[in-house]
Amino acid sequence: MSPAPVSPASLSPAPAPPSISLPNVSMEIPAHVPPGLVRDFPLAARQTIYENPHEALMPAIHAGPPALMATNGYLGFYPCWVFRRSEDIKTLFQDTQNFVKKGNTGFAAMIGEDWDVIPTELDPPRHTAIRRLLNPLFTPASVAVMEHKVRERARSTVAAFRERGHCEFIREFAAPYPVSIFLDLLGLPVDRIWEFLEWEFALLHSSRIEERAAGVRAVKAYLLEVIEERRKRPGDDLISNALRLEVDGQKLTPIEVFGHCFNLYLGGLDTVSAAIGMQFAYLARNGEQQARLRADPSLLPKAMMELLRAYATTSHYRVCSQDVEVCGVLVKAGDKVMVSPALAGRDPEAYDNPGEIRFDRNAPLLTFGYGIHRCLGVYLAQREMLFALEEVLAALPPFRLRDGFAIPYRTGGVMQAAALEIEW
Amino acid sequence: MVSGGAAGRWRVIADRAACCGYALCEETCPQMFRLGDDSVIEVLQETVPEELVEQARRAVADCPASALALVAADD
Repeated sequence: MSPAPVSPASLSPAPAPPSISLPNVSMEIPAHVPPGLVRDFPLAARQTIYENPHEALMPAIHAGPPALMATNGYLGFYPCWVFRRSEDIKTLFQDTQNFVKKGNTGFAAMIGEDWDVIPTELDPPRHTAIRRLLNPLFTPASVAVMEHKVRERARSTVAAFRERGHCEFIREFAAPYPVSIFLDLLGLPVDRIWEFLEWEFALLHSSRIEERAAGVRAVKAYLLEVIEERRKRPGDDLISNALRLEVDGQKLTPIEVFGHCFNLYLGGLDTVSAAIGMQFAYLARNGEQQARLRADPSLLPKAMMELLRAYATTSHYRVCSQDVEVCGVLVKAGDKVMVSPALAGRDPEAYDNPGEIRFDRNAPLLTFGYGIHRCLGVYLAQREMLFALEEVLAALPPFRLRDGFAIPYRTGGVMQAAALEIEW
Repeated sequence: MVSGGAAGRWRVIADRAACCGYALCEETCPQMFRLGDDSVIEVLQETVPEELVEQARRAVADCPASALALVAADD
């Protein structure tokens, strides 16, 4: 597994207007939107900035109105509603009647197709039937079986650079550690990890929609090939499992099998890395807080949850299914709506002084979503993150940002540190 | 769903057919809830001890499948 550049090379230019038009998605601000609520929304732009987006961009958003229309909120290019308050975001997550998922990720539309990313783009009752099949694979008990292997992977990953005195933490730990575990679960070759991450980067983070579409095509072509192999030679991996799933005695259709594998790829290759990167960026910048955790590792489980609140990385979308009033504004059928755990975690009405990291805060979070679409891999993700904190803090002496290094942060649907040079 | 008298004791009702195995109840209040080997909810104690009422209430409210209810124990 040779580290290839995935990060600083991707410092992005200002987003160009999209040249691909998506069905049912317009660049125009809907006519019913009060002009006073329309804003540019740098948080959603696929850009690299050298300030932490939670600290630099979110206070201003939370000082503004509870509802706004972000000109570039949807996928970084198109208008959508943004509700910034945790309470409203929770309500939107719960209201699966008025706010549906069909087509919300835009990935199929980007390549001129129409399939669902499964289960995330499904709505009840199909969603319910499929989550019921998938949840048992990711329960705390199912994940507990993998714990030993996960902890070992954390240990061996950090051992590779601990004697060196410095590392680029994203490329050498935050990416390969959780992603290699996930590739094992999918039965995909870990030696192609950097190629897989390039595709993932393109489809999630590129500032050009053509590149995002190319990423979707690359992943689709590859997964279809792998699915065909597994159809002939099934194993005990998650892709073979997708071929075995049955709802009421009916197997998933071939495009549903692919849609599910696409969802696994999306979910497994970016979010945990992003969260780990954000957490270690915080610890590298805040030596005293790092020292507190070193002095008392029993703080780690709650500290991890607090960092997951304050540096939640993801934002998601819903599509309004019928005209409805939310927070005093009219949202019309077809409008796109951002539901952002990242924003929710910084809401001053939900969290006293949200910018302050209190390891014992023990507050409820929306970081893994809420309601029926709550993250499928949440328990695996939490264990991976906890073991990362435990094992890295145990293996490395106190670490700090490399002298003169400014962390490049990506904004957009999954915020993350693109690189993190640390030394000890 | 939460109903019943505020002063009284509470019990939990679980709709096993509705349970989808999200396991959030087990995470929120492990003293009261556990997923069985079939990944379906098992309620560990029928009456909610007073010190667990808040946790149980949160587990009930947060259940993604709406499979839990808290009702007055004397209903």
